[in-house]
Amino acid sequence: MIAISLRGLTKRFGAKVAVAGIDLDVPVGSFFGLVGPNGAGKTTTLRMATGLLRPDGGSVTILDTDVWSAPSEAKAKIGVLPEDVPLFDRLTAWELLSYTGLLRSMPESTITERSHELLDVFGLTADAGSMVVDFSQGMRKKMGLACALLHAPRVLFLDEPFESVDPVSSRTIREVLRSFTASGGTIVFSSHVMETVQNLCDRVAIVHQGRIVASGAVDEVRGQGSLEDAFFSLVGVRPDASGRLAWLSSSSG
Amino acid sequence: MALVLVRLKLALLRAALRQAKIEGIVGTVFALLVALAVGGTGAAFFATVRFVDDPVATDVTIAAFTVVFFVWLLGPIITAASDGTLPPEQLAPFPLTGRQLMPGLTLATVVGFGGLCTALVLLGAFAGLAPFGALAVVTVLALVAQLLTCAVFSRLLATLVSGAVRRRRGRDLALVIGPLLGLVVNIALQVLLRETFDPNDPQNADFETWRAVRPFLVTLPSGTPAIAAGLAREGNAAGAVSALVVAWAVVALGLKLWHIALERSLTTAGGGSAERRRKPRALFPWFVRFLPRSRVGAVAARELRLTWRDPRQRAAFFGSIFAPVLLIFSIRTLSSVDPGIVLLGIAPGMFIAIGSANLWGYDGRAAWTDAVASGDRGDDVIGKVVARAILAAVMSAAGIAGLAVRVGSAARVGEAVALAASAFGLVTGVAVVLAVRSPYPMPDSRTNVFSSGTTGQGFGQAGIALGLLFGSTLVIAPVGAALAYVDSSTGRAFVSIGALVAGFAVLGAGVRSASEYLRSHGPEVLENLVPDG
Repeated sequence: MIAISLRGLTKRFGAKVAVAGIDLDVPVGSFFGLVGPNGAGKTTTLRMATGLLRPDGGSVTILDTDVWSAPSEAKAKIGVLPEDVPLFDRLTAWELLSYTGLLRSMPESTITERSHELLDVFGLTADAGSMVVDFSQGMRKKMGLACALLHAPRVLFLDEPFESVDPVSSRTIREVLRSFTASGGTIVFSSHVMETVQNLCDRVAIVHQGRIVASGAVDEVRGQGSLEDAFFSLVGVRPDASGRLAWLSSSSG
Repeated sequence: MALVLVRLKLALLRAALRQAKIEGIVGTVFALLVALAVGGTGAAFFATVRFVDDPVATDVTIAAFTVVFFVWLLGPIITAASDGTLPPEQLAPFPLTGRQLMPGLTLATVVGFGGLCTALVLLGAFAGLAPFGALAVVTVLALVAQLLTCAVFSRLLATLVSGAVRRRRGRDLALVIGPLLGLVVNIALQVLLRETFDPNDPQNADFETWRAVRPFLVTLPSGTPAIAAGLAREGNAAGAVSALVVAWAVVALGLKLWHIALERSLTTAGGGSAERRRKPRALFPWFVRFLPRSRVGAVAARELRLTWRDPRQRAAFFGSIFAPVLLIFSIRTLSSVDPGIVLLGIAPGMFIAIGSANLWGYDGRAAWTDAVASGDRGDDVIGKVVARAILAAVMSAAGIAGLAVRVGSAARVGEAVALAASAFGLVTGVAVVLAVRSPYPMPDSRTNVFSSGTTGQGFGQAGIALGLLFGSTLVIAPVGAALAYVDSSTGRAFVSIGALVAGFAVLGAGVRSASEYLRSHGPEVLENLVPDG
């Protein structure tokens, strides 16, 4: 069964084509990695898939619901963690969870019960009364993930969830995400850290210049080498700084 | 380095203008026109000083420089529309000393429409004050000192207040001191004008009060440049040069203080770090426990929490009630015993409603939280309006009650309440449509909570607010006059009911229109709040 289906998704910003016709199917229960260099179109694709950015063309279906013709119904099924996690950070962690739950019309008792549990799992119970603006980046990501999970979505979209996150927080997030997929949930996450994708995901798509250049099971895409090797051979870019920037060895004082 | 920063600011302004949408371009044009009109009028006024006697010319200069100084000082705080094109925090990582950084930041502050307007006024001052001969150089240096004094002390105050409002103890103090300062200036000006000029016989002026106030004005930072220019005109070279030295020393002192304030602001933890590890509190503050536990209630509760906790919103909120408080506490109002004066109590609520014209601006990138949640986006509009209505109700009630106590009569309280509700409905109904159709993100600057982005954007915001103020005043003032002066209580009741019906009709239409737009254009609204796409 297909959890997410993207068909002919396109987006243009002025003269720049950000997404140039993406077709993608993500099976239910998969841990799906969307990898690509900066500016490849990963974030734009995720924003269109979650109803936050209107595509110029194409369609997005989540668990048989069209995101752009029935947005409210589709949004009820998804949880989202955007890059940099911009939150209403002058609310405390507890207030933010209450707010998120009420936005989605959840009963107060359910919000309270789940908030306690989520804060405990993410190790944020002691900070429940603190404003999110005072949180570290790792705490913000965990907070954002707690908000995304509160309504028990069936599909999670995560944009660079491990960026700027310390190893301890990263481990907590991995464990929560693994248990989410184990319970039948589907995750799509974007990253440009190949190692993370290779370790976590069962399926992957490589995005380059707004197009998918490879897609499938991680083992199929990487072949005999690492995912990073496959990525460089597909994208065709290998940085070579040897012999240059020699002046870096001299100090300007 | 100063020129590098000026060039950087000009480049940033050009880039902002190139990327600007229609509101930004209108704002920039509006700013230019305002600068030219105000500056031109000021210049013409100052040029006429050429035809008055020397001592009078010096006194006029002191008074005019004081006015210009206070406009620079309090303008950004009252309008919450300060130019934030070149935020100092972005320069913090560079190894720049205070001597390199501060002159550049000062000149960059002057580059803009405020600087253009002041420069025009000072050109007029040169025409009116400059003597023939070498002392004209002193006049020029005094005028430049005045321009720099305005820029430096304006930014110093903004930086001090910005730092203060980020900390609990400081914010309470700063938010009391700001309005109090404005109040004192306003009342002082009114007393001065009333004592000097007889309203029934303007030709018969008595300058005794002016002579009492003059020594105080001279001690203000704007005082010595005025004295220097005045003495230069009188031909008193030694006195003019001495005053000029003091004027430039004051500029240097202001720069030093600004530098210290900036460094403190940039290196002090923001937010509520002192509030960490507090017991979790409910989303709904105690005074709004009655709100429904729904999307509407949640949005309203969040808005109320953030109005107090977000330094930018707190500054904007206090800025919005600043002008009406001045109006209510004016000598003319307080000395009147006319029951109709109670109707002025609607002003705080009206100004809060005017602030609704950019309801989504402070959400900025966090607005995705609402956009990604299932449910009716129209509830977000209602929730925001409910929060504004609660704030407006509290502030208007305080204004009306205070004035009723002052005049010792509750005769017009009912009419004032009806007019307040009507005015809120009328203004909010229009403002909320503007808010969804042309939202713009408010920058979050550590050093300037009054920042509204680039020069054009700031003036665009002020322009919308002024337009709403003038437009709504044109509609509401005749109704208020009718409620104040119609003797028949039945007649007043009819007018009150009519105003209420009209106000709520506009509010309903505005909320419906805004809700419909947000439902169908949610991603576009969000995109406007995330300008980098």
